[in-house]
Amino acid sequence: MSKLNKSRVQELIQAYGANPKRWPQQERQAGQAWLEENPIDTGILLTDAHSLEQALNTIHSPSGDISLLQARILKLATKTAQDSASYENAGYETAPRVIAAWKTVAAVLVLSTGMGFGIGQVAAADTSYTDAETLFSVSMQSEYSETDLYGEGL
Amino acid sequence: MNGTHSASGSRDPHSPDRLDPDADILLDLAHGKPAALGVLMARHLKAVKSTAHYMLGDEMMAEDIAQEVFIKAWKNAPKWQAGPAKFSTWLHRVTRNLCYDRLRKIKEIYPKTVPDMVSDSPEASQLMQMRQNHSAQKSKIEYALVKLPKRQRMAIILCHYQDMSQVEAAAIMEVGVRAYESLLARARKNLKMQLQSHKSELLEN
Repeated sequence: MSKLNKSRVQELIQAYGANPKRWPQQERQAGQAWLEENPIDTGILLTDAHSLEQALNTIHSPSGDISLLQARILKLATKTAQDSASYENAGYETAPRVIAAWKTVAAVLVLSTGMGFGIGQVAAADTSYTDAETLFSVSMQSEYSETDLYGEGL
Repeated sequence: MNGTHSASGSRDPHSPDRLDPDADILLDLAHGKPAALGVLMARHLKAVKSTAHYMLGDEMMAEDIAQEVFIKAWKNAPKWQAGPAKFSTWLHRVTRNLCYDRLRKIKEIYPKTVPDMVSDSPEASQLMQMRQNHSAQKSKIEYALVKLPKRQRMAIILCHYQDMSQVEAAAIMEVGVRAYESLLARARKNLKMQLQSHKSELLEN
């Protein structure tokens, strides 16, 4: 066990608080030994930390029954599984293509409304059509962007 | 969900996931067995919900977040690949991200806040309105907590309320151990400053 100096003990208290059980495991024993060997400094260092711990301890997350929440999540999860199973059984493997076709139509409609052109004119304009489709695709993919933002690494 | 092999694949008894306390149910979870989800919730639902509660200060929002976390776990379990990270670390990381996302949305809905609040936590005023029935002292401390910048708040929650080791908490927060320690120190310093005016009351209690 390597010894700690006052500065490090002070850092530990400032970060992890007065209770050594929350200190890093590899420094806990040495830290406690320092506190016992230096009672005067310990008193000074721990006073503020103790009052903050007491203050934090007054807040409690409701620790009530979570069985209802648990049941709700299980029901939703089972439903999700059933929905995806029936979706696959119904032979919707071509769905992405259907969605892509729908997106194409929607992109044309959005662009034609926004630009004030007729549907036929917009469908004929290749460059504008591409822009609208890209824009629409991005909006459809917002969920994936959010997942990336979360950094879940999925 | 990184690592070495898929949860739905074969298991090597000497692989790193043997160290994960949830390794025993991940295969069943990947195969869509509701019982495995039940076990996972029995182990982690309380911690996930309470973290969300401390972050958001609201019970209903905390339940919503907890539900979303476990549905994500259920849907994504087949993609889980065992590695150095534990499954529970991933669960808490998702919880953190969903809480940050919720706070961002609250910030968009309530862009203006009372003048003495820190810019990072405009949700504090709204949360305080929900808490009018609570005792004054408790409200002051809760108020001080929700006024903390969200990363500092999360650090305090993981350390003080969830009693997590600094290595695990740092992994959840996706920072190094020293950075986590620095966040904690700043959080405690900010809390002390905010509670300074109520110090005598706090010590009396």
